[in-house]
Amino acid sequence: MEMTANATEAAFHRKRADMRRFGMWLFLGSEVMFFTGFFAAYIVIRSASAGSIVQPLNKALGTLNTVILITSSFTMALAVLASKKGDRKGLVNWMGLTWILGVVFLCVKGVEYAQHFSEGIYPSTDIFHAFYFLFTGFHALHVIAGLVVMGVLWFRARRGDFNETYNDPIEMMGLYWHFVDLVWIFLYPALYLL
Amino acid sequence: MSEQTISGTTAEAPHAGGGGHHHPQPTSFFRRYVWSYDHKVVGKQYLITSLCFMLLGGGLAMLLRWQIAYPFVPVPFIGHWLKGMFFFGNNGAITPEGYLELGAMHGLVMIFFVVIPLIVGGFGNFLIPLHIGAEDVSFPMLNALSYWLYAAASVPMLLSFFVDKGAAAAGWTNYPPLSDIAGASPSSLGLTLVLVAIYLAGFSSILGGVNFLVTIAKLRAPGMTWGRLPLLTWAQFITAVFQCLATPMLAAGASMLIFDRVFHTSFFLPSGLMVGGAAAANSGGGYPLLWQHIFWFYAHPAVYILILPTMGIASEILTTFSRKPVFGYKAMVISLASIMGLGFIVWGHHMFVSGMNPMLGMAFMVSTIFIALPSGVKVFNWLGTLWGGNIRFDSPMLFALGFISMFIIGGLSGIFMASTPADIYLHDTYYIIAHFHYIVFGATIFAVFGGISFWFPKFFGRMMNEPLAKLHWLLTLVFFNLTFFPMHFLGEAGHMRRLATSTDYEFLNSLAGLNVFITWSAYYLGLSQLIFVFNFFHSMFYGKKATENPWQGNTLEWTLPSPVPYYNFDVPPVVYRGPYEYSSEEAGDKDWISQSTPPVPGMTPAKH
Amino acid sequence: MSDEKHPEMCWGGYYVVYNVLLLLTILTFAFSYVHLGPHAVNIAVALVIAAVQGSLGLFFMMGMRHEDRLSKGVFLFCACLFTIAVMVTLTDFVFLGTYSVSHQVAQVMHGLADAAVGQ
Repeated sequence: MEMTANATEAAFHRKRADMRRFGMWLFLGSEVMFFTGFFAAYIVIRSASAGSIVQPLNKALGTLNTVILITSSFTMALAVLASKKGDRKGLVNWMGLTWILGVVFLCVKGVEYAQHFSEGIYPSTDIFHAFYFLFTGFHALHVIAGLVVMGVLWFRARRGDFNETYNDPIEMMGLYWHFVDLVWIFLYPALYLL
Repeated sequence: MSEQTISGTTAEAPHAGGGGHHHPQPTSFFRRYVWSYDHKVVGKQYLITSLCFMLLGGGLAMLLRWQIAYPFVPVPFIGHWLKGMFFFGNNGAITPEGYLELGAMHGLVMIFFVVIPLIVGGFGNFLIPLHIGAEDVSFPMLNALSYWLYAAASVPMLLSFFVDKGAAAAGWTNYPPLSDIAGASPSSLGLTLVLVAIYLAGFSSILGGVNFLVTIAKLRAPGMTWGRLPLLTWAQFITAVFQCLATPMLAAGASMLIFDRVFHTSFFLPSGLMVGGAAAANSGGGYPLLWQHIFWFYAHPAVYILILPTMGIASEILTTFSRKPVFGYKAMVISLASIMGLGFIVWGHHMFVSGMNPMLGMAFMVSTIFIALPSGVKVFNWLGTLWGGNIRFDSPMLFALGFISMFIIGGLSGIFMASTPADIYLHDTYYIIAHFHYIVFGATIFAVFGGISFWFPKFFGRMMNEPLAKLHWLLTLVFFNLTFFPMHFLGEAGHMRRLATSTDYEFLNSLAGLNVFITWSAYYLGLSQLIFVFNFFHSMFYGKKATENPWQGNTLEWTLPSPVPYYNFDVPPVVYRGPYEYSSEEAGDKDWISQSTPPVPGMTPAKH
Repeated sequence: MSDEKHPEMCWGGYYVVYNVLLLLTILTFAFSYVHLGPHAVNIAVALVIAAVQGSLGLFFMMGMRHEDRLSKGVFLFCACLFTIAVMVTLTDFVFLGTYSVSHQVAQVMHGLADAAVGQ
């Protein structure tokens, strides 16, 4: 009877995880469309005013942040892997590392913002900086939201809430975090390099 | 573990969101009626809230009509009480700025706070799980959250009426530069608040869309194949795609507009802009047209959000009251899907006169005219459903017939505007107002009234008062047409929309009489709705107790008691047949057969 | 649903993808200092690299390759919508200020010819 109860429980978690994953993909699809609005506007304005915008940003910091975020994506993938194996210690460690990398990313971003403000550069300065602050601001909001949820999940993971059969919140977190990373992969050349 | 144990457990296995763990119905008032996870309660919350906002939006329209018929004449009663407040000047007449505010807010309230929450939030939430045989939507908590986000969105919207210079006054489309520079537009803080409200309502809509898509894709009862889904659920599925993937574009546009207004960026402001005789402080470098592209990329699909679910409602009602299978089920589904595909590539037809590249204008004209095809297929199929049917003229049917008639008129006038040469003349005139009111009021709201009286037994366990509903239908149909049909003539005569002072133009003077006629028709139209308000609330408490299946419908909700119990289906239903097998031989002496009736031995099942 | 059918990606797999992503980042950074003729070429190279990185992330990090058709369809549809939104809006703006189609085409051809001669 114990086995049967476990099988039912596992079937229930599998079904729910399946629904949640599809829901997450849809939500990420809507996020893609949200950034589509910004990208369409950016591409149009950059093309229509070609040459009049000169790349003014600090490439080194941008590249550093790209590396940080890609690394955090890697550690997040390992956290998901650990949670699927029921490896609680691995999950807690890898997710903790991901969280720290996310915070480091925000700190670097903060340094950049502080530099801009000290030079008297604000969103209203010109159209390029308007887009720069719009893109990075909304991206940072997504990072912050991710960090808040990840923090909650980290405490739940340490408490031992997740195991081989029940780990879909970690998986959802992973999908979201990779998505935030992917957005940055496009923002980096669009804002810092071109 | 024996075979028996396995099948025994799967019978009890969860089949719906959060499912498996059957919690008893919460007993506290708060968890039962306020923060409820029950899709039926959330649906009713949406239904009633949006009907209340309909009174607000309708009231704004009534004031609007007064100004058009009697420019700068003090408004009786209301103007006297509210002198110098809201839209009124010190003499109690509507000011020009107040008029613009009324127009913009009427549109915004009706679209974002009435029609979308009503037909998607209300009917979708209540009916989708019942139609597919699930015990709830896939994410019940998200569902409650999406309702309360919508409710939260109404706070900044209502607040905007009370701030200095009033609510949004740049049209419901909020075109920049007028909407963009805080100092240049008639409203300052109000418009920003309204943008925040749109943002929240949009987020609620996205969450709802995700929820519906997952529910329909993953929670269908055994046997409920895609080919056996009721057409309303199909329509809600397509609508949810729009909600999920088009609404974020609006959020992006609104973010940029809020940036422009709050942080003084210039996404939508060109270089060298002059405001009030001086150069604008903004840096420039943006394009006002960009907003129109982004906005209509959302707002044209939103037009389909406003109509597709009601097409589904009409299909359900027409087939049930014709006692015939719906004509061309597959064609109906394919036309819904092609409306979705085409709906994403026609947004430019709102921009023919905006200065958009004429080459694009032509492409948009062609794609727009193509939409007439699937719409036409649907209309012919509805007529085909009626043809030779054993038609019952109950109130839901009357409203559904009204829906088709009004949809045909509105659809035909749409073809004129789809063709660029005609649209250049008709754009921004009352012809447009007539057209989209025929669609959004004539079609959508008619189907909503029909749907409410059709599913009232499932909503509240009682029947609506039939004679009152029929009277309501008659008066609404007559006064609706008296109000909006003459607007075609106004538009052809060149009467512009968003015009507070039509008396300033000599060529419009001859139309003053027509305007007065329209205004009075609109007042009678508004008064007729009080019959509905009375009937709705009276029937909710004192109506005749409804039986399980008062209209002899086939879909799964009619197998449940009225009102629907907390956990919908005691035993998870199994579906054996399509939703519209009326007058089937298998039914014996009845002319209906429920979707969950097993095949009758010795009979060939209908092909579905 | 997919857990049983497909072998899960292992530690090493993620590590390879991670290194490729880093390598491509360095590549795109390096290319931004190299003048590849008209600026448009630089843009194209950077966007192609970003697209490759994006697909790697989508299919391997996020595991889209294991998903069912419905989820894949969602992203395909989004990609189509993105293309439509960008291309159509762009068509409206790149020809701003010119009103004859033949004139626009001629301009584009001239631009291409100039770029070719310039190299």
